[in-house]
Amino acid sequence: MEESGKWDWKISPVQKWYDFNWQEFVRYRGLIRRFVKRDLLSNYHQTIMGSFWLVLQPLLTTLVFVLIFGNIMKISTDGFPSLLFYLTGNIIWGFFSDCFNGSMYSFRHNLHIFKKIYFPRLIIPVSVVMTHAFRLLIQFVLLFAISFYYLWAGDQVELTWRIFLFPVLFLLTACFAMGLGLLVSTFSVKYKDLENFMQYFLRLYMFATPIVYPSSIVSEKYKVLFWLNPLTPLVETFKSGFSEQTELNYPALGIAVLVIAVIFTSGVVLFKKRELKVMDYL
Amino acid sequence: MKAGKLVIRAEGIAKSYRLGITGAGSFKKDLQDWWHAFFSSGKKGGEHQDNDAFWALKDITFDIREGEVVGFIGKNGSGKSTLLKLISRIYPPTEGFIKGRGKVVSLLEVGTGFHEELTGRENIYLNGEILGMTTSQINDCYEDIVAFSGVEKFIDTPVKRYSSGMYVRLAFAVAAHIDPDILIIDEVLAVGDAGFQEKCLAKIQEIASKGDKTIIFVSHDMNTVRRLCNRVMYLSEGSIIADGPPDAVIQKYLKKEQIDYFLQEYDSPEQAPGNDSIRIKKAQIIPPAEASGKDSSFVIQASFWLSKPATRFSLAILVYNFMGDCILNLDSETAGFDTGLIEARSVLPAGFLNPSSYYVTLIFSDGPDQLFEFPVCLSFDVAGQTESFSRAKGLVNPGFPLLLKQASIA
Repeated sequence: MEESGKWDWKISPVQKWYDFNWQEFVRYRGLIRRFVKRDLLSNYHQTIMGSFWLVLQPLLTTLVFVLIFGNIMKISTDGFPSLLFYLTGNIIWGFFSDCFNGSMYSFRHNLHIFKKIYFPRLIIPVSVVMTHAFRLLIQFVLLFAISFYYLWAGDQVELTWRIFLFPVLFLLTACFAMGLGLLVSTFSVKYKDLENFMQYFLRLYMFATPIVYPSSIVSEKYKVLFWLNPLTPLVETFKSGFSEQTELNYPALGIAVLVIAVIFTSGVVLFKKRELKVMDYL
Repeated sequence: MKAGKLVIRAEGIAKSYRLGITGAGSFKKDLQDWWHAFFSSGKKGGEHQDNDAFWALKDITFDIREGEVVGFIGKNGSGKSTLLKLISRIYPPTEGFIKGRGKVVSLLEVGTGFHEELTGRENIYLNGEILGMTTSQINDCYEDIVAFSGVEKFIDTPVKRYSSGMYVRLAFAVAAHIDPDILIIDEVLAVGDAGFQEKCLAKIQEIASKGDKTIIFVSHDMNTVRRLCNRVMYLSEGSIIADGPPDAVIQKYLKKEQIDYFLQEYDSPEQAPGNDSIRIKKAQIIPPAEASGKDSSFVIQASFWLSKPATRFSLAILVYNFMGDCILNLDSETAGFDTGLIEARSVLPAGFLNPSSYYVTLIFSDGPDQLFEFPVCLSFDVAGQTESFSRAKGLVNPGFPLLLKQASIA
C-alpha cells in the first residue's frame, strides 16, 4: 500500500533558491499588512503626539542639519533654500537607512517568532520596507507643503516633471536598501562582527552620498567614484524634482539601476536559500 | 491502525549541531569549507566536521497517516523537540527529507508574535495570521475566539495589562480555532490553570475525534499521552526506539527510563552528586513503575553523607507535577547532626495524588542557608483508574472526610 502520489510540501536539508513559492507568499499578504499595522501602531501607542511624530522626526533632524551644516559650517546648497535641501536629503536617507537596518536585523529581531513558527521569512523585510514606505508617504505631504510655501514665496523652487520619477526613485532606494540588508543579514547571523561594522559603514556612507552637501562641491578627482555610488544619482534626481537647473546624470542612473538589480536579486536569492539554515546559528 | 491516506513521510532525517563557540575559529573553518566547495569540487569539505558535531537526531524514518494522533515521548534531550521543529520547518534537517500533504500548523508556544502594546483584538488578528489564517477566516470565528478566551471585557486593552492567565487564555483561544490538516503541539498544555488545561485537552480531543485531522503531540505527561494518542513513538538519544499503540510503548518507556528515575545510588562520596557539605548516597522511590496504582502509597527515601556538622539541619522534599507546579513541600524537623551518613524517609499515603506524572527535588539546608539542591532526582507516575477523559479536579486528593447528614425531613 505504497502511495507515492503528489506531495504538497517537502522539507530538505538544502533549500534551492528557485524553490521560491510565490503562491505561498501571496497567501500570506494579510500578514504583511498586519505587521505593518503592528509596527505603526505600537510605535506611537503611549505617546502624546501620536502619529505626529512621523512628521516631527525628519523635521527635527532637518532643523539640526540646517543649523549645523547650513548656518555654522556654511556648506553650499546649490542655491536651494536650505530647509528644502536638507529635508529632501533627510527623507531619502532616512528611508534608505531604516529599510537597510530593518532588513539587516530581520533574523535577530524576530528570533522569538522564527523559533516557534514557520512562514516565508521574506515577509519580515518586505513588511519592514512597507512600514517605512508608509511613513515616507506622510513625510511627502510635509515635503510638498514646504515646497509649495517656497513656490508661493517666490524662492528659487520649481516643481519639474521629475517629480513623476519619485515613485521609481523610492522603489529603487527600497530595493537597494533591502537587497543590501538581506545580503548582510544572512552572514551577520553567524558573525555579529558584520552588524557592528555595518553601523560604521552606514555613517560613513551617508557622507559619501550627497545628503548634507551638493554634488557640485565634489572635486573632479573623485567624481567618477562619487557617481558610481548607486544612491548618488537617486538623491540628485530626487532633489532635481524641485529645480530645473540641475541636469540629470543618465549614465550614472543607468549604472545605479543595474547595480541595484544585481544586489536586490542576489540579496533575495541568498536570503531565500538561507532563511531556515541560519536558525542553526542563532 | 487506521489506514488513512499518507500525510507525512520522513525519510532518514538526521540533525547535527556544531559544537563549540562561533568565533574566529569557526570562521576559519567556514573559509576552508568554502575553499573546498569552490576549488576542489570532487572532495567534500565536510569530513573534518564530524568530530565536533552533535547528532540530535539520527536516521529517523516514519510515515504518518490521516487521522492519527501521534505522541512523541522521551527524556529531555532525546530529540523530540528537535524533531517537532524539523517538521514545523523551524530549521532544516542535516540529512533526509520530510514530505507531506495538507496545511500544517505548529503550536510550539501559545501566543507567538503577541505584541505587548497591542490590544487583545489586534493580537487575535496578528497571532491568527502568523498561524496562517486569513483575515476573513478570523472574522468568521472572531466571536468564538473571544467567547472561548473569556476576556471579553478586556478585548480593547493592551495585552501588557493582562494577567498571565488571561494572556494564555486569549492565546490558546486563537490557537484552538485554526483549522489545519496537521496540527503539531509541543506541550502547550503546560500552561494555565488546571481548569483551563482541561478545556484545552477537551478541545484537542474534539479535533482529534473528527478523524480527518492528524495531530502530532509531544508531552512528558504519560496520562495525557495515553488518553489522547492512538500511536506513540518513543525517542531516545536521537533514535526511535519504539513505535506502536500507546500502552505498549509507554510501558517500554517507563521500564527503560526508570533506572534513572526510581533509584539513584552511589557507592562512594567521590562519585556522588553534591558539594563540600552534602553527598548523595541514595535516593529512591518505592514502589517503582508498574506497581504504582492510585491505591498504593509511595515511600520516598534518601540517604546522604554530611561532611560538615550542621546545627540546624533540615531536609525538604518538593514534589512537582509535570507542568512545574510545586504540589507538596515536605519539611523535616530542624535538628543538629554530626558528620556521617544520614537517612530520611517519608510516606505519601495512597490516593493522595491524582493520576499524573510527578518529579521530586531534594533541598538540604542548615538554618537559612541552603547547602545543596538535588533537582529532579526522582520521578514517578500515578496511574489513572478511569478511562474517562476528564481529569480529577484539584492537584491533590487528600480525602479529608466530608460528612453529609439529613438535617430534617420535609
